[in-house]
Amino acid sequence: MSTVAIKKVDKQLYRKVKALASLKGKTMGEVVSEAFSLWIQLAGKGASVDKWIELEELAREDKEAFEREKSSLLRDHKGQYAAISRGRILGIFNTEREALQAIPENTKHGIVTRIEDRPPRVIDLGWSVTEQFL
Amino acid sequence: MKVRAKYSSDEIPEFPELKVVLSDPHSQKFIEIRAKVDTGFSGSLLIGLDDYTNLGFPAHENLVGSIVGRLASGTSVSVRASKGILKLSDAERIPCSVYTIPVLARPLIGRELLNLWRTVLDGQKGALEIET
Repeated sequence: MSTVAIKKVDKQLYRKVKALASLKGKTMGEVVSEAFSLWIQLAGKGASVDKWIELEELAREDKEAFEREKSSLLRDHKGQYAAISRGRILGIFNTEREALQAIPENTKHGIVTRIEDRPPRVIDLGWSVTEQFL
Repeated sequence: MKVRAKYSSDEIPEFPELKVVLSDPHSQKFIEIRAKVDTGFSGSLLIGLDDYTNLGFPAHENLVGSIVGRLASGTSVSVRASKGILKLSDAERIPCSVYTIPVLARPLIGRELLNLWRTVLDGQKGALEIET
């Protein structure tokens, strides 16, 4: 690892990244290295970056809607399913199918999730995907 | 029921590939995809972002952050996940998770699905056989 000084970094952006890194328990060195790595991967492979970013933004609104109500949902509706779209919870349902049906047609983004508190699931993507990133 | 397929010669050496029909339960849209059989992939089906969005999977995704992708190098990458229906043959409709990442050369079918079946890879004949 080496020390690198970078000029002309957007100050606002830097502050945001620093705050987020702190929340995630990462050093700025780790974050910058990850960002560099990701930039190389995306720039080199012609990824659908714009589409991905648009989805990320829509998903963030829907996730925030869930997070705002998470404690009461876990208390009152654990094991049931929530349908979320356009930044609001559309309803709570007994089955995943019912929740799916509650999502309006032509919605750009929505979430159908079982109401539960569990750690993220890790998926091994394997070598054939890793090779694309190298 | 048995499903047989030939290895793909898109790469050297040839690799096992399965032709499946993937549909979205919400939009009812479907496409045929050729997925590389990859036992190193622990998920079910990984498809490209364009197919994922064209079929309508973003309309009913899993909660963001509930699934994290891990490369063989140990690096974590962002993964989007939704639910789809995979049709292996006219008689087999299998509900499964569908994943996408920003960069993907070809769709993959992984252990989450392969472990449901008996899968035989006959490298000498360049043939794949799945028994459900």
